[in-house]
Amino acid sequence: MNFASDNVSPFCPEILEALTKDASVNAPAYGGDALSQQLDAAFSELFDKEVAVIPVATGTAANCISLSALVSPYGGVVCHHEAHINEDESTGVAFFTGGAKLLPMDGPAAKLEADDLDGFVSGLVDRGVHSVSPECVAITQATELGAVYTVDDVKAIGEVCRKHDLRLFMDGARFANAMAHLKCHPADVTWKAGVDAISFGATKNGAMAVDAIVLFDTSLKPRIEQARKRSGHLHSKHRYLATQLLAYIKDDVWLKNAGHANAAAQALADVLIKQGASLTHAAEGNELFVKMSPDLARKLRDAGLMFHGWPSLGADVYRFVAAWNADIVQITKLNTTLG
Amino acid sequence: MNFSSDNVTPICPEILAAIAAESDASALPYGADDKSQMLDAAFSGLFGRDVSVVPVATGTAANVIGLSGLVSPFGGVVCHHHAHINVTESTGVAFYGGGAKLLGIDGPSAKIEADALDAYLNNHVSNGMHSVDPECVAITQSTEFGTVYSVDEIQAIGSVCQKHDMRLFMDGARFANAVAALDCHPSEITWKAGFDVLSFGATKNGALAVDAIILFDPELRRKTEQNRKRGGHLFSKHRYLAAQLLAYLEGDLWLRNARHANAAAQALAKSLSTMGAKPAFVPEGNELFIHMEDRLAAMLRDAGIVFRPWPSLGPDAYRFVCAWNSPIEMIKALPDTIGG
Repeated sequence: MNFASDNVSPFCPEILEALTKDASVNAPAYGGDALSQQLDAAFSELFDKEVAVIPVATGTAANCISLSALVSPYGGVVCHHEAHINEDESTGVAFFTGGAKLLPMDGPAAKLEADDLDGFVSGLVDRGVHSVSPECVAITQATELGAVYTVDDVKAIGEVCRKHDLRLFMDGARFANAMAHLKCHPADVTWKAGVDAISFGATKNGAMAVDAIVLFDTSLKPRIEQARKRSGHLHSKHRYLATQLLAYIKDDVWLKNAGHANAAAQALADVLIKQGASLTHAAEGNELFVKMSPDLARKLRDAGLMFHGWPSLGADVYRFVAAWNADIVQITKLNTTLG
Repeated sequence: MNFSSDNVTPICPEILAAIAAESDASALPYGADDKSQMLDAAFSGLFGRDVSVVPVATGTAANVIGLSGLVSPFGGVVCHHHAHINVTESTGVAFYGGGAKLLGIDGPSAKIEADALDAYLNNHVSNGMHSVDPECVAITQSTEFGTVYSVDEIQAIGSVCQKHDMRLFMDGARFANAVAALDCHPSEITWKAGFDVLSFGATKNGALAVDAIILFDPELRRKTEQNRKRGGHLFSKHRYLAAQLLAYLEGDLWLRNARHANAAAQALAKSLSTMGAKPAFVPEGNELFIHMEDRLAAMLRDAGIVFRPWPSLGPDAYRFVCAWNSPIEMIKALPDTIGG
């Protein structure tokens, strides 16, 4: 069983069916097709607000292109040290924004805390052209350490951003996992809390390759579309991005997949705890971070489990990620096979 | 019938099957999977030498990331005025090149001619850091006007670049159509003529979304891969890019598709000529540029045929693009079904 990441999973049957469906007809390019034209309406219904949707093929592109419209080349983006944009996206943010700087801070389970954020921003001294002043805050939902911001958490951060006149961005590579955990309306943790744009992840959760930039501030659309084109992220056969996204939100496939992944993570946590491992913090999405002995790690690897060491949390810490296709029955059976 | 572009086409059956075949198992991400690991060998076999393959999902990405390894932020890329990188890729080259500038020159049917290129480079006055000095030449094969550089023409351009110490890049969004037209070995018009990098197009010719950056200079790999990642073009589920490319090469699918598209363009040229249209250039690939009267254009549109005006060639000029799925028999029958 491969728990190295959720991106080791293939696409789910609903997405494959969608890709296969209009395989014989021609369609206008660059988003002029009928499926692409449905995206804004479909996501506006999902979020209960008029939104603009700009799909791209990767999560890094969704994050960096979004941020390019929320921060100037001279500004800063406050994020968590562990944020994907800070740790795993090369110098993408600086590239797409023309030089904007990431201003990382700490917080438990890779979460920014509203009070800390307020303190951090209030404590910065603006030296005009000499300094980098924050213009935007970026949070990740669910976080890089598998935790989920509550509705109140996000609201509190939104209020701090409003107080300091900062834009608010959400990296939602695993937004579905957060929603499956919170069981709230997607509006509650996004635009109602003051989020300007979200990268709405699908690739990790059953798509082939598509993440959507969803703009709650639709005035950002022309600029985002130009940044997408300039960076080579506008697909000519745009319908194949659209068809994945439409299949992903139809009949709540996104929430079903994420609910399954979260349940698999819980089942795996139970098994690992019985084997003597302990969670570094509560697992709320589809990622588990566990402390365990080298003996247990070896035993699990010998049993065919794949997972990564996570040295930033300690030499004895490992990450397990469950996906939409994780086999919960097999996970539960580990209790007997591992002894 | 839709001739507005070859990117209006769907996925061809072989590529769809290859994607669908990757639906069961889990696989390592970011290019560590088995399929991705086969790419270098597959393309090295195709080109008859060791190459590095860096796949991306769009042709613009392949071009601008491909060029980013060949020019400094202070340098220039000589290209044709009509080049896709100059006309249709926004400011992508400057973005990925850190500011590098496109230096557009003229030439018949969107082709750069070796003598004209030599003269242009000879006449360029370098004022040191004040000027933009050419560092790279980019040509498009087949060209934006549906013509194809011959092997000799390509070799002549390669010699000029060697003389002036220029890097050489090929936009091969329609490389398959050019190779199908020339019926030559792909090496003859690429590395043997001195090309450093090729964007090997697949999206327009049957793929879902993949174009491959082919590096004939393997030292460019690290920089190209870093630019791909930084530009957000590294796929986590990289196997779906690889599966498309491998299926595209398998059994010469890329050439079969391109030959079909080229044959459709020839048939369309004949049909439209019969109806009174005049070709702007001799069509060699899958694109056709014609002059025709308003009356004929209206008649074609009324019959449900989709195509674009091409005002840069005149108010009576239009572009028709054929693809791997164009219905050749229906195209041949056009003079009878529509009249003339």
